[in-house]
Amino acid sequence: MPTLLNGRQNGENISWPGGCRIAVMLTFDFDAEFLRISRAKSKGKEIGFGDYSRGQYGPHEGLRRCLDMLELYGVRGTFFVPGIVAETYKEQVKEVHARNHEIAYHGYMHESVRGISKEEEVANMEKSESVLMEITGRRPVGHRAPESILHPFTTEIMLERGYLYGSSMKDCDWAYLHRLDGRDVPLVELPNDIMMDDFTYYYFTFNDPAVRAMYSNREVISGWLAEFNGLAEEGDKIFVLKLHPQLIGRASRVRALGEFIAYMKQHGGWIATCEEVAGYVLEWNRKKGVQV
Amino acid sequence: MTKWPGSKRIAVMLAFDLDAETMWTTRGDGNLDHITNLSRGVYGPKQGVPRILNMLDVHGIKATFFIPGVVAEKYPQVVREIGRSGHEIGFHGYLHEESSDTTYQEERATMNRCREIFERLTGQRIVGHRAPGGVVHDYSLRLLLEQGYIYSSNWRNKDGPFLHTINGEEAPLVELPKDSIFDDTAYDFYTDSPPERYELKSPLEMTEIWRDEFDALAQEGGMINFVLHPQFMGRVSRVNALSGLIGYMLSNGAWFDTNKAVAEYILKEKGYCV
Repeated sequence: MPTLLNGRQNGENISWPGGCRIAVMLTFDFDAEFLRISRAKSKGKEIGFGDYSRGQYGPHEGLRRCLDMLELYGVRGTFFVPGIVAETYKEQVKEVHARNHEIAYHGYMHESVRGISKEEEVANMEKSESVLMEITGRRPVGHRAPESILHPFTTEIMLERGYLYGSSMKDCDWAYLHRLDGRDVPLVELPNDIMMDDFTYYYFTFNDPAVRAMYSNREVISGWLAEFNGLAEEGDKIFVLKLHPQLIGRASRVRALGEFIAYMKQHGGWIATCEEVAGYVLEWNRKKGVQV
Repeated sequence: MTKWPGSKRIAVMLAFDLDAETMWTTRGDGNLDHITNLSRGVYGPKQGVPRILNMLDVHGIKATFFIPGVVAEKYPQVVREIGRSGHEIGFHGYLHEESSDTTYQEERATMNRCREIFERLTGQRIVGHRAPGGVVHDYSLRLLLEQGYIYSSNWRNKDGPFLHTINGEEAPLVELPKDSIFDDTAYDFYTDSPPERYELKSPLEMTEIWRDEFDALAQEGGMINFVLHPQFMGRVSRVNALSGLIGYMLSNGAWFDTNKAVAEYILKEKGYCV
């Protein structure tokens, strides 16, 4: 199906299971210190002890809180885990898997450099997939590009390697099928936006020279709430929260997030893993007659 | 203080800069190979415009869309729909050119090229100008007059409107000024790509600032010309916040119309034939 680009149509009119009004995905980029290392690297810099230690707040403190909160509200999340994080923090990633959350691809070293070769990226994927498989017993089906850096060949290699979905694009609020050589392909995109990314509000560093603002939980959650309510009203949209255990994992933030999750459950949110939502979207397209 | 039609207290122009990917290709290192930054630009025509057009219809309000020619060529159906819905289209460069070295000849060629594109797509003749990146040249006013334009929306020195002076003489060219306070990117353009822009404001903070300024300007009989970008402003929380603000403005004496309609009104008031 060609992309809707006629200035009027505001979505694909998908209906969500159980009469839900919106598909909500709680996604966690579990990057630990490699988020900050790769960011500095892409700007030709290195990080100091402070940023290492900030990054390690994820595996040492934030992750546990996130997992306990998800259990408390009885919902599943999707964890995008770089291969090296799965090697360095194997126990933590095993715990994520044991608690029934989805684990998906997010680079090997959280590589965020544009212009690399296809061979290089395939090597990253091979290495990471095998590390993740050791923990989960199956190949990952989901892909999120570190720092949203996609390559011209990414769609092609995701298809070749059996992926079901990607979640890096920012071009709309609905889930859609990727196209390759002018044809729909069985690969779902679950777009996200910087407004629903905790990095926008909570990333702080003296490296770079970034240093950024601090936001209250009220400011952050009220923005997410307005976005959730508006999208739920439209009825055919998705809501992808993009979170980092090292940022959202602070005590008061996890609490505020938990209460927001309770609100979404109560107000028509279908809270599911990316794999569940992508699988549903693919089936819906097939039932509609899209040949993929 | 301007006397507005129908005893309205203030003229409010909703003007959208539909830059799409040119927002990104004209900044930083060009972003030409930054697929997801470009996808943020796509959000404008793909998701933002439908939502905005539907909201404008709810209120029965006509707006102005400043659109680079290349965006119209890439998204012809979107531009046709904007025209078909009764909104005005204004000049905004071909590639969103921001160079201050552009010559008179080059700029004139760009304007002719864009005029043809929009006439072909919508049947509309462009009469208004908002410079990409706010870059105005020393020949710009003269060129606008020669091209048959009746307004510019580039100055930031007054709350407006006023008539421009060319070579010491008043010209039938209305300025409908703008400012960053009414530019959504001052609140919602966040990017981590160089040159970085941090500090994302919530829709509530943004519209609170706009409402306060509206109240005070309405008391003076002023005007507001918005600078809104569908790729950021088109998020549902912001469209809903703007819709609420429009409701407030309507009930507090706002005259909503296009830049063109307001410019024509001013010209008539000053005794020019339109």
